[in-house]
Amino acid sequence: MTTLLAALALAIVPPSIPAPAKERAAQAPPVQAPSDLPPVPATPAAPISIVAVQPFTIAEPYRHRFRKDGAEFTSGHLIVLRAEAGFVQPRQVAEPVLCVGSQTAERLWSDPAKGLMVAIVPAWTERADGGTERPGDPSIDLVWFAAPELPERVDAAWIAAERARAEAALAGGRLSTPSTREIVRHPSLTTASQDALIARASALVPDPAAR
Amino acid sequence: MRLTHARAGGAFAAALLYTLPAFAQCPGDLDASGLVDGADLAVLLGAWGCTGACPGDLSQDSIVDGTDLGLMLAAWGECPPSTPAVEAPLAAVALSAWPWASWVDTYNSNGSVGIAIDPGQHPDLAGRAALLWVIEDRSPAEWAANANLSDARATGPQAVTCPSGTIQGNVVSLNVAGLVAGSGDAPARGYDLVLDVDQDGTLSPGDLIDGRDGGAGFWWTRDLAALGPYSTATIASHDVNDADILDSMELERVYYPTNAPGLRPIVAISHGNGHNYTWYDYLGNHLASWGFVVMSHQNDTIPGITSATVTTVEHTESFIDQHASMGGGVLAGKVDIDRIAWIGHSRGGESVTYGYDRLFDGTFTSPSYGLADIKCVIAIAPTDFLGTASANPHAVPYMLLYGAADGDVCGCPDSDIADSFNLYERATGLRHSTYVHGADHNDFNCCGTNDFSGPAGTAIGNTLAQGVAKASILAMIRRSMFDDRAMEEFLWRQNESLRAIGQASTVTVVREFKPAAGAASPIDDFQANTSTSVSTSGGAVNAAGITNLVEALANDNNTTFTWVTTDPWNGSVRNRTTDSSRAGVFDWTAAGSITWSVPASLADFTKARALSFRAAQGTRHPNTVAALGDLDLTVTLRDTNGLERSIRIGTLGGGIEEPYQRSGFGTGAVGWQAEFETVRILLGDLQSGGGAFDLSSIAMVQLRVGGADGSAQGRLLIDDLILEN
Repeated sequence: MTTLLAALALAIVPPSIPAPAKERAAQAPPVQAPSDLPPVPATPAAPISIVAVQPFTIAEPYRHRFRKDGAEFTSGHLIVLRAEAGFVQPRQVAEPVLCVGSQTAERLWSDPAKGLMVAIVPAWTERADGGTERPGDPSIDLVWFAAPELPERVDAAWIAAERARAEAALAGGRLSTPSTREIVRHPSLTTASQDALIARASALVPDPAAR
Repeated sequence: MRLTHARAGGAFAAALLYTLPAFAQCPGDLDASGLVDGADLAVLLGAWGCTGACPGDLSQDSIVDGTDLGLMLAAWGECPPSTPAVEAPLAAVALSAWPWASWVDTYNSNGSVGIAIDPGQHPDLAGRAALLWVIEDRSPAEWAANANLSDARATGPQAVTCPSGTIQGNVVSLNVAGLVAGSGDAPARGYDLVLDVDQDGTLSPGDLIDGRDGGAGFWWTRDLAALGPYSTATIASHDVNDADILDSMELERVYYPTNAPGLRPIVAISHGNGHNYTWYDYLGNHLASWGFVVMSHQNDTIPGITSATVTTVEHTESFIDQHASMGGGVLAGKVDIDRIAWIGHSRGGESVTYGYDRLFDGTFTSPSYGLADIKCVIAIAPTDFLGTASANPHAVPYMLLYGAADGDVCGCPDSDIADSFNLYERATGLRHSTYVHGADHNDFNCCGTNDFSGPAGTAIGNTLAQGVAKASILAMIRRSMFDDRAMEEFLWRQNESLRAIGQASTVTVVREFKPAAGAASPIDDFQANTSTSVSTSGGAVNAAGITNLVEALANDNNTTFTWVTTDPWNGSVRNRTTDSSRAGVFDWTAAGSITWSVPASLADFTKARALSFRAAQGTRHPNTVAALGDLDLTVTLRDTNGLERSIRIGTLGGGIEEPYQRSGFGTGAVGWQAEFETVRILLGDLQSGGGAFDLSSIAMVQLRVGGADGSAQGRLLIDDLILEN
């Protein structure tokens, strides 16, 4: 090649694409690193314990977005749960839906390391044995993690089916009820809005450092 | 005047005159009027007796005398019709095998630019001395108005001698000293190249030019992974207090350039579930430094995608409505509300996609912006809860960024929800994917749970993953929002061939790119004419020596990645059963081929810039496992005269990527989802060496595998064999 180049150019290597690497023979599969993301546990499953319950009322209603047929509400319960990390861990794929009686709960805050979760349970009614109705109560009604799903897609029929599945598991000894030994029942709370309610909810977390 | 050098200094101009116009077609036309006439004679006579570098010294004997007068009189009258300067690619990278050079356009400013003057295509230039000019990029109109050459380098034009023989080993370096990369917001600055054969300092007949007919001869590019030209500031938290947004979801963080002129486009970021709007400082600061106003907002992801989409579309509206008053008015009059890019991560990735679908369907309308204002949607590892009809990008330019070690939206075969590439496959506009080995889901934010799921020792971590993200996202937004062609090669060239300066060379990145439907002509995209013997374009398809050729919906049909013959699409977690992206798949253990006959309507390949296809290795197939590595094969074109040109794709940068060696969802061999990678062959490269091969009349395209044509065995998913216009 007879190329005359400026002196500076002579020192520069022209850009090039390297030749492809050779293939290699099959070998033992590499060791896989464990993920810190806990797998989604099987459902139905119960929280380990209910840590705190607090009834509330809010002046400004807002819509319950954690079920497809959710209505506006002005009262309910704040609850704090302790649960296996796999239930508490936020994830992108579907999470087990937290249900209380025939209601879904709104996950507000969670700490997988401590296994704590704070949720809002909008008021609902339970049908008693005699056909009468009574207000639902997280401290006495079934609290469990139902199948993974987007809460905004579940409705009364879905909840009923999941509840039946949970009650069957309970009857069969495959589902326990959460411990209420450490439960703290706070006095009823009245706030103006959802924002204020959420701000007050953080006060329920037992370990302030975890808030 | 052609014989005076407009910009060069005196010494150079003097030297130049002695190298003149052996090639000039009208040597007596001293005033470049197209005539040799009295005006020229006056110039000659005016210089009569002049010695040295003189106008009128047509014989170049350093004196203006009777010899020159004789030459002028011999040429008296109209000049012969001139041949215009020829548009010819010059900037190139060297290849390790034929075609020995690829005439690409984009170059990183920490490297060099190759110059490949192919003696096969320009035999008349072999051995000839010439000047190589680098000129600030001009449009065709600017070239028509001004043919004078002005070198952008302080050293002036570069003396070269055109190579003889072949181009092999003859790609030389351009002297890039003094070239400036980037131009304002644009990471790349365009330059045109002129091979000034007659060395007259103008673009004139017989010269070669790279970059006259559109685009630049080459793009000299800053580091896309580094901060851009502008200083940035942040509004740490702004409460939009919008009645359409839940009280608890009203916060935004805004990143903006403080010294950028004019109106700045908007980028909105929608985080994922359990994430936070403050977790994308790396991206906000990066894009702001390149001139974008970036708004990251609280995203209502926990209930689901519909809720999250409300926050995406409403925060965009609130930002447009309120930006002028934010931060004490620092953004007033500085935001371009007609240029918006949406970026979403995980559930947020689906919410930006569904947001676009809602604008498309008209189920969401805003008085502040509309469908046409969304120039680009970028999803980082999106979920697919909503499926075919709703998680649908339609024709918006769409990018998918994905980490191969994602332990959350995992690309697992047992759930469509976790299969991000479903959304990508639905995109019908310009689309691009960046697939990053060793990156997990939360490597693309600051603070999420370490969900890495892959081979020990392959985790690349946040810093390296975000380096890839910054570069590829900037390139995609620039390409789709501003039609910035300099960025396009960062979206399709193999990572081994081109990556951002600051992107670690140790990181494996697999890229897909497909132009919008209107910019491509499918030879076979497998969407129509569903027989394996007929292509989309109606031509015959013939397979020889290969086995198990199937054409169908490219959808892994079971819940494991273990290879079984009943699941030919193993690893292709890219479709639901309601989706429609079809492809082909085959395997081989000996030499074989697939041949596509090209119908007459597509036979003129000179109308296209590139021939491309995408391909992926078959997950955990015995042939894949037996020879781990990038898979190589040969693409052959045959013209209607039976002449062929063949190129090994490995020559372009490594072949079809070796699958990431991730385990799970099965036993035995490892490997994960199908890693489709685009192979784009610049058709001009196939003219290397010249000859009679006729690109205007192509009869067939052939993939050759095995034997002497590439990897001895393999299994290949293949799709989108197209001509890119």
